Amino acid sequence: MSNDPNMWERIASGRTPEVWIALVAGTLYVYRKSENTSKITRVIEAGISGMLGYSVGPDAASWAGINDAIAVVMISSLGYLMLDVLTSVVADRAVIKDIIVRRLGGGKNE
Amino acid sequence: MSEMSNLRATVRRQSTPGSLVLLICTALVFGPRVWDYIIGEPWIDNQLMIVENSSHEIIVEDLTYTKEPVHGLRVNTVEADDGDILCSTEHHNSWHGERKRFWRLGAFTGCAPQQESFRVCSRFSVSSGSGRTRLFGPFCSPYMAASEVSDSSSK
Repeated sequence: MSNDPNMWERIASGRTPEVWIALVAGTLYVYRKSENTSKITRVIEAGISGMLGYSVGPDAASWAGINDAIAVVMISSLGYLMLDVLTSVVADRAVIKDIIVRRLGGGKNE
Repeated sequence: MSEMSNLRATVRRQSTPGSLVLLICTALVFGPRVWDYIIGEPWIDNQLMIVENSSHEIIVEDLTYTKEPVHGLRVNTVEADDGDILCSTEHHNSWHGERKRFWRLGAFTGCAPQQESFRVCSRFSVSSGSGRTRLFGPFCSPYMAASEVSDSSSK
């Protein structure tokens, strides 16, 4: 794939114009919504969302029986939100584990 | 008690009206399918392609996929590129698992081969065990261009 001279052309032609427009809409939304002060970080966040939309959108649309463009705009707009929540859960895993252990009646091994 | 500072910050960051509207829209769009999946309601997926066989006949390649046994009514149509339905046929059937079949256009839709560009579509009306009827589709093939149609009919 990396040696394919037509790789970018194939990526561009792999989705219809309306899907590309949906993808741009989703990524612009993420860029605009981000609270990061660094423009590069905002571009990276928007890029991650766009790539999620491009790669997962058509499969999600086919699974749910909906239009590709609708699935793409949803995934690209919300993709980063989901990743953000998952990343926070992983970052707070020790605290979450503590809470679960306490709720189950266990104690800290300190 | 320790604070879930990262999670709290994320929830605060993402709790904007825009995010909530998007979450509601996503629930409305993907919700029915997710709900069907969770409670095991019957559903059907279908992919159609118009192909030409070795004897230059127009054949419809019909791939249906279900997880559970599904019973219902299937309506097949031939549509012109302006969206007009040129003819249709319907039948009751049962589907289970993945089935790929090839049909002559006449057997699939009740139509003679068309001279202009067209596509075939299927719509399903499926009943669940509880008697609830759900509609799936239209599942449509790509258009077969007029040039391809005339090529295959002249051979």
